[in-house]
Amino acid sequence: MSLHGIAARLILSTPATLDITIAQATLQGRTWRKLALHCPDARIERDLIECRRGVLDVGEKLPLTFQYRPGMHSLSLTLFPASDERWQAQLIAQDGNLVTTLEVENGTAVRLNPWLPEPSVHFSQGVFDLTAKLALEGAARGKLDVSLALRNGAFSDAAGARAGEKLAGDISLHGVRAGAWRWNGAANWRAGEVFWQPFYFAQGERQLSAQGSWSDDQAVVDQAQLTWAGVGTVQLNGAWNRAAGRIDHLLVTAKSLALDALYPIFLKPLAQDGVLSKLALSGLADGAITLKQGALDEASITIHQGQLKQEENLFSLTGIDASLAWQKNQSRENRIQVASGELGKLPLGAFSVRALLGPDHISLAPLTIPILDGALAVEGVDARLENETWRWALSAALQPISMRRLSQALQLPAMHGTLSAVIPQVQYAGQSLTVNGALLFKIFDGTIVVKDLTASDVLGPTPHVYGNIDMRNLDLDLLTRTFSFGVMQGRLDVSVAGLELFGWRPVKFDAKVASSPGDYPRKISQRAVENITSLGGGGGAAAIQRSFLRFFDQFGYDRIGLTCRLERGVCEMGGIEDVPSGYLIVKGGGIPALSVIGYNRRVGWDELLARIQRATQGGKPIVQ
Amino acid sequence: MQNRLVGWIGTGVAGLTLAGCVTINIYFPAAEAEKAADKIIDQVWQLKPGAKPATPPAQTKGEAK
Amino acid sequence: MKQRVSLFLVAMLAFASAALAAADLEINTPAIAALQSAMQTRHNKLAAYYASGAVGLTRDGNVALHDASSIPLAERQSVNGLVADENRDRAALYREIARANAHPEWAAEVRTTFAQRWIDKAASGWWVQNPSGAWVKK
Repeated sequence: MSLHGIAARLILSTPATLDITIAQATLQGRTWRKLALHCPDARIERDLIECRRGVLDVGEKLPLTFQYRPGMHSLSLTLFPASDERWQAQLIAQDGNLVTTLEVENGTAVRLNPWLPEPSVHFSQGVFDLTAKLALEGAARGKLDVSLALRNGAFSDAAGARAGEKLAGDISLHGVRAGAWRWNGAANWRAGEVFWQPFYFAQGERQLSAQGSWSDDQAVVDQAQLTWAGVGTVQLNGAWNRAAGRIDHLLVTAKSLALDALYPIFLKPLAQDGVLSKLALSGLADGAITLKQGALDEASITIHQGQLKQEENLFSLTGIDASLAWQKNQSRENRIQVASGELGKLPLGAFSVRALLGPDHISLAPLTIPILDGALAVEGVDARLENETWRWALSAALQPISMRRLSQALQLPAMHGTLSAVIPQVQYAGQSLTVNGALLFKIFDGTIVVKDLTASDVLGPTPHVYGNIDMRNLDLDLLTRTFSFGVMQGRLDVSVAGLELFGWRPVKFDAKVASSPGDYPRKISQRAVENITSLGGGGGAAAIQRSFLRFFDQFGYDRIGLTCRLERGVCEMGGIEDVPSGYLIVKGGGIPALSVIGYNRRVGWDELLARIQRATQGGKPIVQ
Repeated sequence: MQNRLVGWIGTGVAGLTLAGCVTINIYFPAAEAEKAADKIIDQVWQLKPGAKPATPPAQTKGEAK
Repeated sequence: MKQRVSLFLVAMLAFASAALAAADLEINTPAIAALQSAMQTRHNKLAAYYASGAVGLTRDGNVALHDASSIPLAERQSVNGLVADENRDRAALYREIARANAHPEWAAEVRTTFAQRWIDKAASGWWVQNPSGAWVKK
C-alpha cells in the first residue's frame, strides 16, 4: 500500500470539520486518484477522533463512520455503500497483539472485481456476506476465521466464454498458528451454473473440504476431498512451493467415478472435433494422478464394466475391463479386455489388448479380434511420437470369413466363398493413412489386390482415399449369380487405376474390365446381354438380338471388355476395341455367337449406378 | 550523409527486388477466387447472387453494406 | 531507374492477369459440394447467432464467439461446438478449393479471399473483425 499527496484540513469548531484528501493511493496493484474524506461532524478529543456522518469519495460517495482511540490503539471503520450494505473493519493493537476483524453484510459482489484472481472476468451481480477475524499474538501465534457466503452471483468475461449465473455457495476457513499455520476449510457450491469454455457445469451440488498447513515457503494440503454430485468423490493431497510458484507434489485419487457423467462434463468438451466428440462412455472408473515438480509424473485408471459407443453407430464396445497406466520416462503395461463389440453392422467377439505405454511410444502385443466366423489378427502395432505427431504403424491379416455370413451381416446379396486378406503395413500420422505393399483379398474364387492405398483427412470432414485395384480371375458365374445380373460364365480381370474416393464414393478412376486370359467355358445368358447393353447406354445392339437370337437362352463369346474413365461425374466408356461409331463390349464366338456394341461414349456416373442397380435388382433392363 | 543516402537507395532497390519476388503471388487468380468465393458464400448463406436482398427467407440474410 | 522497374512490374502484372483471366476456379468437386452443404445446414443454426452478435466473422476467414452473453449458459457449449465445426469445415473448404485447382499452396490465399468476401457479404447488424482485429458492427 502506498499513499501520495496527502493533505488534511481540520476546522476546530463545534462540531469540528475534518477533510483529508489523498492524491493517489495504491493497494495491491490497484490505484485510486483524488480520494477525499469529508467529515462535517467530527469529534476531536484527547483520547478519541470520531467521524459520525462522514463521506468517503472514491469516485462514488460512500457514507462512513470511524472511531480512532489512540490510547487503546483501536480503529473502527464502517462504510455504508447502500442502505442495506455494510462494511465494517476493526483493528485493535495492544501489547504486541493484533486483532483485525472485517464484516461485510449484503456486500455487492461487483466491488470484488478488482481483486478477482482471474482478471478477465467480472461480477455483474451477486450479494455476499463475509466475516473475517485475524488475531495475532506476538510473532508466532495466531488464529484466523473466515466465512464467506455468496448469493445470486453472476460473472462473465467480455465474450461470454467464461460465465456463471445464479451462483450460490459458501466458503469457510479456519487457521491456527503455533509456529506455522494449520488450516482447514470447506467450500460448497450450492446452486448456479457455469460455462468456462469449453466446459459447462450445470446446476448441482459440489463440495470441497480440505486441511493442511501454510508456511513462508510452502502451502501443504494434507487431505482434501471433492464431491461432485452424479460423478463421485476425488481425494487429493499435495504441496505448493510458494518460492518456486509450482506444485512440489500432488496426488489425486478417485474410486468408482461414474464415467457416463464424467465423460460428457470433463473429457468430451476437450475433443470438439474428431472421433472422441461423438462417443458415449459408461461404466465405473478408479484413477490416480501424481504430479511431481510441477509436471505429470504418473497416471493410472481402471475401468470396470465399461461401455463405449460411437454416436453414429460406427462402432461400439461392451464389457470393457481395462487397467491403463502411464508414467513419465518409463514404460507401463496396459491391459484392455473387451467382451463384445460392433463395427458398423459387423459383430466382434471378445478380445484383449496388451499394450506397453511409454512417454513417446506405444506398442501392442499381437491381438486377434473375432469377426463372425473369422478374425482380424493385428500384429506389430507401434506408435511413436515424432515432432508432436503420433505415427502409427501396424500390419494385420484377415483370417477367412465366410462370405455367406459376411454378406448377411452387411445386408448384401448372398455371396459364397470366403474373404481373407493380408494387410502388410499400415502407417497413420496426422490424419493420413498409407498402406505399404498390397492388400490382398480372396473373393469370387479370384484375387483382389489393392495397391498404393492412401487416405487423407481420415477422421476429418473431407476424407479422401486413393489407390489402385487389380482383380484377377474372378469367377463370373459366382459374381453374376450373387448380384442377379443374368448368368454369365467365364473369368474376369478388373483393373481400377488412379482410384479416388471421397466419402467412400468414387470421384475419379480409370477402370477396365476384361476376360481373363486362359481356357475356360465362356457363356452369356440372354438377360446378361440385355443388362450389358443397358450399361453401355443402350443402343442398336439390342435390336440385333431381338431379331432371331431371342430364341436362344445362352450364347458363346470370345471376349468381354468394358472400360470406364470417370472424371467430373461422367464415365467415358469404351470396350475391347473401337468399331465404326461405337465400341465392342462382347465379341462373339462359338455358336450361336453374339456381339454387343456400345454407342454411348459418355454416361453420367450416377445414371450408370442407377442402371447397374436396376440390372442387379433382377427387373427388366431399360433398353432405349 | 553520403553513406546514409547510398544506404537509403540500397534499401529502396532491395525493396523493389523483394516486390519483384512477390509478383509470384499474382499467379494466384485473385479475381477468379473472389468469384468462386461469392458463388459458395451465396449458396451457404442462401443469398440471391448479385441481387439486393429481397425479403430474405430467414431474418438474417442479406447483402447489406 | 525506379520508374522503369515499376513499369516493368506493371507490365508483368498485366500480362499475368490477362493470361489467367480466362479460366474459372474449379469448385465443383464432391468434397467442396459436401462441405458447402454441411455449412449451409449449419448456417440455419448459426444465422440467429450472427444476428444477435453472439458469433461474429473474423478477419482470418473463421467465425468466433463475439458476445455470447445473450445466450443461456447451457446453450453456449453447443454454440461453441457450432463455431468449432464451422471453422473445421471452412479450413477444409479453403484447402479443398486449393487442391481442386492443383495448387495446394493456395489454401492461405483462398482463405484471405474468403475472409474478405464473408465480411463484405455479411448482413447489417452482424459483427465482423476489421483488419486490425477489432470487432465492429456492420
